[in-house]
Amino acid sequence: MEKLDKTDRKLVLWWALLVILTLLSFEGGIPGLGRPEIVAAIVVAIALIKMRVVILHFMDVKDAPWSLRGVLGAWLLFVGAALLAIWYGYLAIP
Amino acid sequence: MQPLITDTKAPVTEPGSTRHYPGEGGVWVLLGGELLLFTICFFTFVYYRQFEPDVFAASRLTVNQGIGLANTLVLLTSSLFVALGVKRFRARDASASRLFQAALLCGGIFAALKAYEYYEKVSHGLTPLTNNFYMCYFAFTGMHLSHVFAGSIMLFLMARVAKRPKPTAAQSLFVECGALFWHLVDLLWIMLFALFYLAG
Repeated sequence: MEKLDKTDRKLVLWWALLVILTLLSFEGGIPGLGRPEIVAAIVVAIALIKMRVVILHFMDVKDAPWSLRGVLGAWLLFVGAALLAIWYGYLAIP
Repeated sequence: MQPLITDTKAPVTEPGSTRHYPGEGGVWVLLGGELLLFTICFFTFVYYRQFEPDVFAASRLTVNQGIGLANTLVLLTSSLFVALGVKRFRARDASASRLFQAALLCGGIFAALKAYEYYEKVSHGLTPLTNNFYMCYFAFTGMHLSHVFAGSIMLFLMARVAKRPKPTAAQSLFVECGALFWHLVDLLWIMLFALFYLAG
């Protein structure tokens, strides 16, 4: 396989960030992660960041029309906010 | 007669803009549908958790964290291989095929680890009937696994197409869309991993 060129190196760097974020969100990755009550919020937030990296840089959506970027970004925010709101009891699904 | 697919890189958006849909507009309907399906799964999980958060917290401690972590890293790496492979494929570089094969191997490793994980759970008496956490766990990671299988078939075919010196426009589109599907598989697992293994 040839040497990695500039774009390849960028992809590898994004992958490295994903790995680091994964390890950080793992048990004890962030020492204590503060109060146990906020673990869910931190873990979901990190998951959203990782998903955004995969969408923008692996799926090439960074070069996609703004309508697509907008829909996917809005979906990420909505899912994160709604999941956490239900998790912490601010919202209920009857 | 006009060919069905002409320039797969043609901008589908505002004139003068260089922004283009990765793959083709239509595949995003499929991807959107899958995202919607799994979004319902995520909400189903937190729905059931509302009523018994302690049961969910206790059950989370019984999942195999090591395998969860390993599977996450395996899928992230496979996505890297696919992203690099698509770049090489566009440049008609033969190493694209090897990268798709490497991603396929990752898919196989994921499936093997999952199979062992399910076996381990069941042999300890943890089944979809144990409680709502485990019902969700088996149902949603099982659905995800079926997507891993579908994606793996696509990777196998993508590796074959990537070996051809002159892929057709349709074959090139298949490679781009298959890559997007695989990234979706990775994406969905990121959230499943967070909910079932980490969030406690």
